[in-house]
Amino acid sequence: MAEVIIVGTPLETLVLLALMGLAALVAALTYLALRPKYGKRGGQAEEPYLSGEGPEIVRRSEAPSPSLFWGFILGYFRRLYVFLKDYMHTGKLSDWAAFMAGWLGLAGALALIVSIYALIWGWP
Amino acid sequence: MMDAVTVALLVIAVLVFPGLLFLFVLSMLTEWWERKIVARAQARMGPSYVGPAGVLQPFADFIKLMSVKEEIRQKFSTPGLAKAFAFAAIGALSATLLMLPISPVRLAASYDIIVLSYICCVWVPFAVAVMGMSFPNPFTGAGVSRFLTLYAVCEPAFFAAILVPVALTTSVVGTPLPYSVLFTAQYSWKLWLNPVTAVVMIIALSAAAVATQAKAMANPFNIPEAEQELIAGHMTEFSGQILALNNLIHDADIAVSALLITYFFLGGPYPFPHLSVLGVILMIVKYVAVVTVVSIIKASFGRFRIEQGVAVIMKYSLIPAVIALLAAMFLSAYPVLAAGA
Repeated sequence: MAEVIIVGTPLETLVLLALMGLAALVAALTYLALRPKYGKRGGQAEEPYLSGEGPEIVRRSEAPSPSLFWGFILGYFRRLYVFLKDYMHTGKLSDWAAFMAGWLGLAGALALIVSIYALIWGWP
Repeated sequence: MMDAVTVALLVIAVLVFPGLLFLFVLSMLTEWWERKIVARAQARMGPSYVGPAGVLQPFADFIKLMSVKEEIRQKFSTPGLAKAFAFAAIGALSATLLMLPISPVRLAASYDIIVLSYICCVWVPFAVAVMGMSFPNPFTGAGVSRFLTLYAVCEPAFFAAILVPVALTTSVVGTPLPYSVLFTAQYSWKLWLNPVTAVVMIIALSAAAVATQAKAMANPFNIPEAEQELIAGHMTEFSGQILALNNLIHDADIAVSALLITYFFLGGPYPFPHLSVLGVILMIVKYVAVVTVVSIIKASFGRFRIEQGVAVIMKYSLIPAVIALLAAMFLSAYPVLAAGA
């Protein structure tokens, strides 16, 4: 009863796109037959719908740059921000010094390892 | 090459069954069922007056919007462009069904899962986005932005999830053509008989369910339309015929997604044949079950914020789908692991 048409993938794509176009055309013709037969009415909706506000409300639609920056930082780097605030920016100088010394020490150790590697085995 | 009879059959299939006409009726019935379930969950009656149990209400709504209501245009709008893309989306969804066993004339090709994802994943969201942007408005812009953000995550998740049964059916069950939509739909039910592939299928099915909820823009993922927050988001300026076409695309997208899940994960009518009474009943039961789950989740949740929605889709859909896909690829490379189970 059912017929299976096995074709190559490119031909199947073309056939499906052609059938898609045909279905779209028939849908459009059905729409033309069904649509109301009156012309354009009134004109009460010439302006975009802005919850009753006038169009000047969106005249300056761009957000201020600092707000965008802090919105981005607080929205997407909140965890990093909280980490830095809690561990480094506590108000005590020793916390800041310990934090910075830890990272700088790590960077120094890495530099030392790479330098020793380069001196013994050459730069890769 | 195809002869004239085959071409005629294809044309009838895409216009009548399971194409345009059938998809329209299925979409309307799906909307009715969804409205009834959501109303029941909220202690309301739902559609009740038009037809038995209100089953004709979505048809009445569509006809009213299409042929009675005025299409309100604002001075920056391009309704012709919106309608052209609406028809393209309806055509894409109609043509998709010819790849499934529900069609009496079925198209099949090796690796045509790519064709399915191209037609479903590209044309429909693109059309909805263009329809929204054809009526420029700050609310519309924000709605389309949210829509594209949501779809950028949920469409890859959905197609990664449905790639799992496609890969497993090809490698573990064995199909006449590799990565074929038709043969996956016909043989994927056998994956549930194997405990190893069944586990992978459960993960992929749950990922596909979450992605379908987001594709349907149903709660908690009704973020692009966001009533009371963005008025109606990307649909703010829609009215009359454009609103009818938008609602039809929305319902048809849910219907096609539910059909894909019914075939790829739940086995469609199989192990019974399509043209048997038991097969038809089983197919309807599975389809209604999928739509019911979507409706119950819709009625049970409030709306997420956009970043919450994206995070939830990534956590419960995209990542599980990728994990299931990696497992499917592993089983494809070593099918003996699944065959021995």
